[in-house]
Amino acid sequence: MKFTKEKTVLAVILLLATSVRFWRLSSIPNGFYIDEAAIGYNAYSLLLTGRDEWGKFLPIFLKSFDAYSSPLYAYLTTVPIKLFGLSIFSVRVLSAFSGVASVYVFYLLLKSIKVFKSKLSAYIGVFLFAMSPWSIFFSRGAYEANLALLLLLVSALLLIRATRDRSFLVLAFFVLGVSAYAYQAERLLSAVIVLGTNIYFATKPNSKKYLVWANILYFLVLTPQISLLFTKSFASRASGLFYSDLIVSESQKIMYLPSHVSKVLVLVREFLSRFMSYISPKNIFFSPDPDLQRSLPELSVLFPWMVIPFGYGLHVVYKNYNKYVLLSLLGALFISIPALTRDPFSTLRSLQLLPIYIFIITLGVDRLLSQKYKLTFLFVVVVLALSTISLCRSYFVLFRVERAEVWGYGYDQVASFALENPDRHIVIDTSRIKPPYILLTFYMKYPPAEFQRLNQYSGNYYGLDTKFDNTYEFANIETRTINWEEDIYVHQVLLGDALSTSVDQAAEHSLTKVLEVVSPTNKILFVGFETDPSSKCMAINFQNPHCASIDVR
Amino acid sequence: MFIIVLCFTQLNFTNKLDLTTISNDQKRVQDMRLAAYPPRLLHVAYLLEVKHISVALTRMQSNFFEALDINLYFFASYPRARVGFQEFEKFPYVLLPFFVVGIFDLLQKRKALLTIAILPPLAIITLYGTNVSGSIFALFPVMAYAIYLGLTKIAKKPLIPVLFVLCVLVLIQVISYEIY
Repeated sequence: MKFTKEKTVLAVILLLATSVRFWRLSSIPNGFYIDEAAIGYNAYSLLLTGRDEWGKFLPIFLKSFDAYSSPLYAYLTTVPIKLFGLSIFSVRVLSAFSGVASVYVFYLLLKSIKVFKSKLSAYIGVFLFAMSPWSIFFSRGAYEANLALLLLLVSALLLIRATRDRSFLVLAFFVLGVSAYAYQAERLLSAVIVLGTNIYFATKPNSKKYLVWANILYFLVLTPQISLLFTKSFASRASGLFYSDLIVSESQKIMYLPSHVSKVLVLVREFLSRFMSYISPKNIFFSPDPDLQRSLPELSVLFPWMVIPFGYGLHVVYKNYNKYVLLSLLGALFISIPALTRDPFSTLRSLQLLPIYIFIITLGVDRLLSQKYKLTFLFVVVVLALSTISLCRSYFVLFRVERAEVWGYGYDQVASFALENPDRHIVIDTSRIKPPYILLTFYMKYPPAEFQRLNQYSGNYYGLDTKFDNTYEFANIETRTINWEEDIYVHQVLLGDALSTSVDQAAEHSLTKVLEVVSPTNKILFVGFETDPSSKCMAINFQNPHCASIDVR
Repeated sequence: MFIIVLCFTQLNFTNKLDLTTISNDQKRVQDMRLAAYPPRLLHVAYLLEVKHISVALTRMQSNFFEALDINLYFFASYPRARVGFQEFEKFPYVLLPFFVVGIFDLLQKRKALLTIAILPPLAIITLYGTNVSGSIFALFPVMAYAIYLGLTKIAKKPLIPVLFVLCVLVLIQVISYEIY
């Protein structure tokens, strides 16, 4: 293969993209989020038993925490788990790989679109995509949305190729069908894209035969999902995210207008305000996602300087609206889906906007390059250098420390404590923490077959007949709320966050601290106290009925 | 001339914040961040976290982007309302599409006017902050003009009564929220 200058530049960008996505993948993010653990443990369970944590054989949706999430990421993660064992790396590696592959596919897309005046622009665009905080962040965690983005980009590339060679339609529809198993949003997105493609190609020559086969294949791929259309699992996640309760409560505040008019007004305001928040320069270029688990300190999804070429790119799109109608429609569609959810600005649910925004920014840079080449080039080089420093600061320094707690830091230490003390019964207080069982089963590599026996569902798996309950008992661990009237009279370890047991309580109930997990910012995350029923009963002169069974000899 | 007067008036009503002064909590965060850097990069840490120029740049960016937030003007910053600010809707959201059309129209046909009308207020906001009584009104004239341009471009005569009714409905909605 001949290495031209262009290929060399691309290779360097891909190498950079790979380095920044794979370097210290297991330790940054610092911790392991419960959603990642759920994917990892379910993948482990599928690998070893063909069943998920609930014992369902080859599920179409993963019940997990009653979220009924899309299963493709978990199924594909069985491969790295088989190769590398169950670890944080093996769960995150698929997302990292998807991130790098997305960079390459985005390059192919930019080359095939042919709208740039400067040859350099496509490479700048690819570099911006590769180094965007948005892409890097979601490539370094086990995010199904990142895999879905790759599939969306591949299908877009195939659809563009289909304008010249109709046979690509079949493959494009297949990939769109598969993407519906990758992430919730893609179920709707793929359907809309398929519909739009049918409308577009219906009148084009030599399309009919391929459209027929493409649609047959698409529906064949979706058959398992379609079979669940009328079950609660199909739309449970989506309905949980929609702000229907907000519409009702806000509409009651509106005076003088009939209820149905008020509800329409509230719906329009809620939708429009969220829609605009995904276009607002403040959110895209400055203010991070309000969800601390999905954002970086001091850095939003794109760099602040990008607002200039973004604005210019938007202007180019507006001026040549006829040429960019499809882009505008896709952008509106991709924003509409997260705008229907409660989040004010969800960078996860709007990840599919990344290539569109980078394209618009690249368009702006391209036009600036064509007008003032040297100045623009110098500006881009300088800001890219500064952006790299800003990214390293926010992601590899601050994020590692400041967000460790929200990323589930410390559960590995709790799991190690449980493994090192198999004779001690440990009660983990779940009053204020997210479901810890999945992190512990992951770290302890608890045998899936045994866990499925404990976690059986009854009735229809997809019908929500068995609801998720945060109470579990496996190995020497029990996850529930602490019952202070009974638990102190049983010899065990009571473990919870810093608020679960005060110093006074520990003294009053004769508790001895046996474990303390501290975050990188020196905040106490977990404290474990061992009970001493004998001492407790002696201190209260055996007044409590639970003391009757205590042997003080 | 009018823009200059408006800018000075806004400046008078602005609760000016020093770009480099930090509160006790911000100092705590600064110290925590300094500790996050590896020892061999402490001089870099100082440059990025403590140096006045870095603190000032971050503040200026914050001020600048707050002024560019469309939701600030049409939705009282909802759904990301700012802490410590009395938010209110400056323009009814039903006029938002006309504003978008008008702004691009201005960008296309009257770049000079747009530059004169936007840059000085933006500069003042960036340097002195957005804590203004009555909100950052120096940008209101250009926004109102953009809405007017959008209306003249899109709103045909038959649409005007519909638009009027929508404006009244939205006004009732906004006033209801304020009273509640």
